[in-house]
Amino acid sequence: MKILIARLTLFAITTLSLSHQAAAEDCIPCHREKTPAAVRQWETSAHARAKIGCEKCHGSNHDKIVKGEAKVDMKVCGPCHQKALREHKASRHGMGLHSGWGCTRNLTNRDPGECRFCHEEGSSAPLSGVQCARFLKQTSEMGEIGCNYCHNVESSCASCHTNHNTSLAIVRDPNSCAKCHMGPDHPQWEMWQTSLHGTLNATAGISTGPTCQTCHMQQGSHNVSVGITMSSGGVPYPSKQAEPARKEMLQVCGQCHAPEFARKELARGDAVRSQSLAIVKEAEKIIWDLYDHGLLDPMPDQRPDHPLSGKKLVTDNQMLYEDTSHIERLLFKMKKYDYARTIKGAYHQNPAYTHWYGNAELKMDLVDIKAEASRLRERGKTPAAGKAGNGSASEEETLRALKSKVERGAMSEEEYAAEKKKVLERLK
Amino acid sequence: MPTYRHCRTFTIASMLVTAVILAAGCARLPVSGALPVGVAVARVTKVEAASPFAWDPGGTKIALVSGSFAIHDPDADNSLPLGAVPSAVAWSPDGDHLAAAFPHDKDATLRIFNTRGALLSEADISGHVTKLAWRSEDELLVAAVTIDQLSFGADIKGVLYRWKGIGKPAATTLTETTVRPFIARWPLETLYHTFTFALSPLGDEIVYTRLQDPPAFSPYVKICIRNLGSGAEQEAAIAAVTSAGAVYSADGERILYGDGANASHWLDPWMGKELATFPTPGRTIALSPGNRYALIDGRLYRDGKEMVSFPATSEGAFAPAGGRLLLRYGGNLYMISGLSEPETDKKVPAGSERLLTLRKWRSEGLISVPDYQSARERMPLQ
Repeated sequence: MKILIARLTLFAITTLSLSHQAAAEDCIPCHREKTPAAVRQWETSAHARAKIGCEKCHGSNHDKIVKGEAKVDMKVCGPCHQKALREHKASRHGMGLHSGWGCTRNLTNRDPGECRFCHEEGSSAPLSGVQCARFLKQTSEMGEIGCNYCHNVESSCASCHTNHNTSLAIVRDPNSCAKCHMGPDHPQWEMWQTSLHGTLNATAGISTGPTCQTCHMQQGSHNVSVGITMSSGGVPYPSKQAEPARKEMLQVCGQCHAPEFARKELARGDAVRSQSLAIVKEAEKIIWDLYDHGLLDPMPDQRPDHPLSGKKLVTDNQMLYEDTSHIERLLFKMKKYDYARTIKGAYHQNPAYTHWYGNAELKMDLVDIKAEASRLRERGKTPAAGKAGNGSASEEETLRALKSKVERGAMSEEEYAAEKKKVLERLK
Repeated sequence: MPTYRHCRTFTIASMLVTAVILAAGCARLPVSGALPVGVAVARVTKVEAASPFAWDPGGTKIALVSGSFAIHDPDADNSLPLGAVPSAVAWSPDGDHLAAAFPHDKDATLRIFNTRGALLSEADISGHVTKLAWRSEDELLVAAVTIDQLSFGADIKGVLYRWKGIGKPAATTLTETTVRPFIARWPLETLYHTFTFALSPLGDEIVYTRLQDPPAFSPYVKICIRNLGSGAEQEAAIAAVTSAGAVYSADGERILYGDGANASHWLDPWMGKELATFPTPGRTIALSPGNRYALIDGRLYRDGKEMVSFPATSEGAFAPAGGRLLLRYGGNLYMISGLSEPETDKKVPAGSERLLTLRKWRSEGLISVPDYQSARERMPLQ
């Protein structure tokens, strides 16, 4: 009997001692065994200290949780973290899924023609299953790890904060950003690491060397897009939008640097950006000209359909790196990798990324594209050699090219009419 | 939109008149109105009802079915027999070759003969042939209809074959429609009639009929223009299924089509502009080479005015050289002569290659209709 009383007393003491942590949770005893890491992280989190238990975020329907249907996304975090949610939604992170596979209407400086990716003309109802072209080309497994693991930043706070740990030390470390902001397309993490900012951070500490968060998440703001003057594809914003953003960034830089120094640094980045964009546009023009003359190999109508645009040539943000022609694949690398590295390298004050990994590659891409274009044009002449004297065939090709240009807005109706008139006069 | 009821009433009335005349055993062509001075009608020979017939380009020989298929010389009144009964015939532009389609089961055999009756080439194709036309000396166009009966109706397909006289004819499906059961039960000849074409005088385009069977509405045909060079198509008009379809004007710029119910229309298909109408539904249509004469549902028009009329079910063909009209009615073939036509009526611009190029570009929208018209007007007439 004494032993039984002693055991009951011990149980009562243990239960009471845990109650301040578990807040009457039934989950902990079992999950300490099943998911010990999650429990350990929660126990040391701000949530535990504030008595925010499992059910508050996960709900109480265990079946749903097990099936993965009770996701803890920003709708769950938002009601308590309203300021953070507001800032996040106003930022490019808040459009992560949109830019990946959702509606782009709220993105700045977007081509209205992009609406066709998701909507029938004139309809606001989304087409079922229409998403990002590159995402749609993936297997589901590849899409999950290769696309969604970064683009789910829109709706998942855990994308940066991790699941159960609320330590700010984690999200204030540039390694948190590196998961996505690295690699060939936008290596901001590497650029920062090997820039003077990164070197000072590594050697003299954060008081001297700023991190990603220092400049892009001032005072813990979740709006990572403050001070940015271009779209995610590197297209400069119109001045009405760019000028206030530039003021914001100058304010950020001004916390350490003289205003004139900061202004010149950013202005130099602008110049590099416009020069680099001109190189990309030159290459893009070459490819459209080849397309107009039916010289891409293969042409869009001779290869698997583009998931969103079918048999049309696509060189905008939805362009693909697979099921395309070699010269388009060169343009893809040029735009997505080398142009991005040049301009982001310039704004992150990284000489090697701006020049060797960026601008030099960009210029060599143009050399490759021109050479490939010459080859395609030369080859295009060969089968047509027999019809060298056939004026109408070449005039027809000219007309097709003109029509294609006017249809995509690269030529005005007036210019088109004038050029067409010349063709008709030449026709013998 | 012509209704099925209109078409049916007209057809029944025509059949009654035909039956009465046939019952009387009449071998004389019934004529309403006075024949103009110089115009004469003469019986050529007996022919099979609904059988094909065609003038040779020189207007001296006729391919027809009189007991058997034959080349008939009306002046010498003799015939060169060629065998079985074809469903369609056509002379090559130079008159050296005669093409004929011979049906068997659901399919057909195409044969090409020379003027001495020797078989030069043959090929088998699927479907029942409704029309033949030579695009050039080397290329034959063939319209064929296949009908697959289904538990819920029938699948009717119109196929255009292009045959060079050797090898297998190349097929392009121009129309395919699944029709409702009550249409699937129509007589085969009526279903075959829903797909036919006419070749433009320049040989670059066809105007053809495409059957449509929308739910809750009467079936009808679309009259479509297809450029054979580009494959580009445009819808020109709609008509009842009893329409004869359309024929081209001598310059290839306009079409004359029957709406199958009320009237026949001269149409500029590119401008969508109606130019003239005839108050007869256009279930049979023939045009003279210079377009001065039109035979529509047995009514013979000259310069748009009705001269004289024959039975509505009679079918005609003008001699390519002009001046004469063959008319099949009641198991007999008649010749109407004395239909003079000025040479100027047949003029088209010189430089046909350039004209064909312009027409192809117009079909694809590479140049606008005004661009085309302006360029064409600058070309001299030949």
